[in-house]
Amino acid sequence: MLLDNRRLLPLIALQQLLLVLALWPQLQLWIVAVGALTLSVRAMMLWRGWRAPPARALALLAITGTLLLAWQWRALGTLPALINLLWLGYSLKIIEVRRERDIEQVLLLAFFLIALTLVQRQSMGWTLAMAGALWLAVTALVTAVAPEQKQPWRNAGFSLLLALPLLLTLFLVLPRLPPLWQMPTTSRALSGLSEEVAPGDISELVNSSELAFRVTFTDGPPPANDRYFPVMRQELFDGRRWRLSAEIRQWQQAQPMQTAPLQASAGALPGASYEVIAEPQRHRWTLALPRPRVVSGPVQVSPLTTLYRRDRGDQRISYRVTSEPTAPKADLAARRLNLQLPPAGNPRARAHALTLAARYPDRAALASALLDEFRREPFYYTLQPPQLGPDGVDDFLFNSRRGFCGHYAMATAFVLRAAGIPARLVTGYLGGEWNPRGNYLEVHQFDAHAWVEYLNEQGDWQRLDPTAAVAPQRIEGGMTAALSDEFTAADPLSLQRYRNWALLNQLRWWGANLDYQWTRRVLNYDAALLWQQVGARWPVLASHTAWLILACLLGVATLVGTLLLWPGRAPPQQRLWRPLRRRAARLGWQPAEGESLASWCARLGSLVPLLARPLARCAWLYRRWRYAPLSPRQRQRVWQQLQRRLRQTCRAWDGQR
Amino acid sequence: MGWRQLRERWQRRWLARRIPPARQMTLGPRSLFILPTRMGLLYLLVMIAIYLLGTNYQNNLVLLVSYCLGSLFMAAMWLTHRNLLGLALLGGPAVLGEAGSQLPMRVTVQSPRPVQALHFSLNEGSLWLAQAGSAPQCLTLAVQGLRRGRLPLGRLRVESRYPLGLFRCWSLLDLQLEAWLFPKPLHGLLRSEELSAQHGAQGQPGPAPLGDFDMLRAYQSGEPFGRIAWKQLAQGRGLLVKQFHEPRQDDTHLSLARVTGTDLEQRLAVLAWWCGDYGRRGIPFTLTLAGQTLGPDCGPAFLQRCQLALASVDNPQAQADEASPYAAR
Repeated sequence: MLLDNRRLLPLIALQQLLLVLALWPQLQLWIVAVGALTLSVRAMMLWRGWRAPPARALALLAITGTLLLAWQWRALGTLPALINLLWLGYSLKIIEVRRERDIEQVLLLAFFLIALTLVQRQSMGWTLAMAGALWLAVTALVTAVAPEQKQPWRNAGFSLLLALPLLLTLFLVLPRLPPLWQMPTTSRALSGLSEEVAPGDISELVNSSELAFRVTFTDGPPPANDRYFPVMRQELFDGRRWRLSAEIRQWQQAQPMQTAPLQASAGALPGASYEVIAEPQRHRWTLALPRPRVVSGPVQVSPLTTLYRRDRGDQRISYRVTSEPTAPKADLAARRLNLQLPPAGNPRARAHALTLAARYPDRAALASALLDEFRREPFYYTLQPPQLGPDGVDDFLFNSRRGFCGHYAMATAFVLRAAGIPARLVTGYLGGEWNPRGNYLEVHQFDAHAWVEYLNEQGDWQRLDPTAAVAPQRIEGGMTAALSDEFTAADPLSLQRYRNWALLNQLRWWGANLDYQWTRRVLNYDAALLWQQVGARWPVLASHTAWLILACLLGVATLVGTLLLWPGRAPPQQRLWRPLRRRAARLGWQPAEGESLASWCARLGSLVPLLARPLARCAWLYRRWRYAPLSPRQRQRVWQQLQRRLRQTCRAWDGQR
Repeated sequence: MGWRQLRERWQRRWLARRIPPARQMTLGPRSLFILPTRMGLLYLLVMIAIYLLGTNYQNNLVLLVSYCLGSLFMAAMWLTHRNLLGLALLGGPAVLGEAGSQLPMRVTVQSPRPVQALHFSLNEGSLWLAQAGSAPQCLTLAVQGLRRGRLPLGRLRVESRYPLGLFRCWSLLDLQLEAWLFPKPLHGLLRSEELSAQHGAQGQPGPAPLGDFDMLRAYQSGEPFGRIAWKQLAQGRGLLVKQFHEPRQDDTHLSLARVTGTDLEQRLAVLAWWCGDYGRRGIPFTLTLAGQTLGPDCGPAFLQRCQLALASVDNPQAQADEASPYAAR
């Protein structure tokens, strides 16, 4: 079993291609180049009879590669660097195959690379591709063992098919263990809201059509103009950027990162709650409706009354939340904090705020007057606002008057604070797309939004969205409606671009729903829930989970194994004689080793003289059926005669006893 | 007796009880052994590594891959076992050969279901077979014979790693194969019959010469080519054989007593040379060994009987069975 098997190499090449495609963003270009080089050298060795490159050259390549990777380690992050290192070793091993053990390593490493790919990519498409890669890897195993096999992929497929029942049982029955130790982060460039907001920040997110959250509601979705999902509340303004306050930062640092199992909850959603599936985000902040209360899941409520993840944030999680009926009143410290402004800057905006405050003593009236201004004056909602000068708010409010939600929100919060009303910036998501096929709300990164909250006289936080005044379509129809031509959500292949084509849109919904169900039912499945439910239903079984699991696995394994190893039915010509043989065996007259059927019949005839004639007749008929040159119909007739004769003989035998 | 030998003897006895010697065998669950290969163990390591990866990342798909590898391992076990199940083997006839040469041991295999990627080995002879089907297939395993006598044959090992190479399923069969080695011919001198009887002194050397030509007679099958009257055949008078007066009949009595020397093996080798010589030339001769006299006769069949007799001198069969140094491996 060496790599001089010409059918093995194309299989490995195809498998490498699939894996390179899947691991692409993580693999360094030069590593892929080394892989291609070694593969082609191996091919030349096989087909053109090239000599193997000297061991010294290979060692040099290996050492150089490892050093280069060590140098890049920081920049790449641990996991991608490990993947690159593994790929380097995998490529070099392909040339350096000398003994049987080496090829075994090459074949088995492929399985590990497939698993590593799945750490990064979990969509259905990639899973299918990796299933294909797995098939190829198994085919390579078959080809290595039986090089002359005609269609090794069929044997590999058959083996995989046989493995399927046990695989499904294992998946359905075996609970996930908690993580045993901390692994390096997948360190993909994650998108998501940032903790500090400068005027242009949110418009960057608008270009990402990446899926961020999926929300299922028990009582149906909230109305379109009420789908505000706050994620963070920035309470500190330094003149340019809005930041999280110092207390919040301290609180954040005090939160440990849990590696505990991401326990989901079983059963149907309780009333008036909703379930969120959150994709990995840049920060641990996550989405909820205002005033959340956690029902289950690895999240907690932060002092900002938004949700904060307990885990590291680079995994997909799901959690269930319901809304508190009332919010707590803001205390004095919060009031003081939300009046903070830098000592200088933006003089025109401050002056404007003071005139407004003089005209509208009522806070709500002032807020609506501010919105009226946005509505009345020539303000534009645009993705490409001009650059703002050092006094950003002044510049925006009185000169450029073009901006994105961030600009409006920041200017509004500034003016409110300058007018003496406690106010803060809220960043989060607005809207989302309702998927009518799966009945859930899809929130993409481009749904990111910023708005304002101010304290009214009673000490309650009130939502104020200046963007609604400038571009009401943003609230009603989402980002696409508000920006129409300007909206270019990400890549041109994105189906988001073609949402106006009805048929394509149906198709998109269907695909999104498929992915949603995949996420809910496969990616987030945990057998522990199944056993919880079993325990709740039949309390007797609750303490015997381990035994039940073992019984399930053993049952399925035995079933498949027995079916496979069951000696098939004997051929009909042997089954035909079985009744007679059984009767003879009772008297110890079974056919001897090597005895022909005819001589056995003759022997039986001599032992039971009464049956000698019918037995001889049977033997004759059998010989005739077996050896005479008969047409199929004649054969059929002889067969039937033989059956009848044998039945009669057996009856006569029983009668004689 | 060393620990190793004890173990080997125990293994041999255990095997003899579990898979009794038989000329014809159909592999059943009782006669098959199965264990993971080194690759299978490596594969398990990879599976565990993937499981840990999946657990630590709480990633169901990675866990699914590890479960898939696990159940594939089980499936491979069943498939490898099933592959060999039902293979029927039939041992070939006894083989006679010269000491120091390779003997072709024959085994016939047949299976109702195609059996893939088989590996046979018997002593040092081994053979790959890509597929055994329902048509009987005769395999020849070349086994090196070293010393005169009965060739000590171990059990025939039938092995397969099909389909994934994760498991090795094998059986050790005793198909009652038999192989005899006659001594490698060695030219030596023969004492004349009378001398050896009277003095036991050095005798008259020389190959037994052909006598005078006597007559032509019809050819009987099996007679040596050397005596065919080729000229007459060319003249179209049919296949005739030259018959000679054989004046020194005594010289064609071969026995151990006529060979000098103390080493039995060497003396037997000389006898083998003379048998071969007479056989080649078609001179009828007799061979007396251990009180039994073969012949007088000539022809290849008789030569083989003589060679077999030479091979089995001092070599009772039971002893040969017991002395087999090849235990179960």
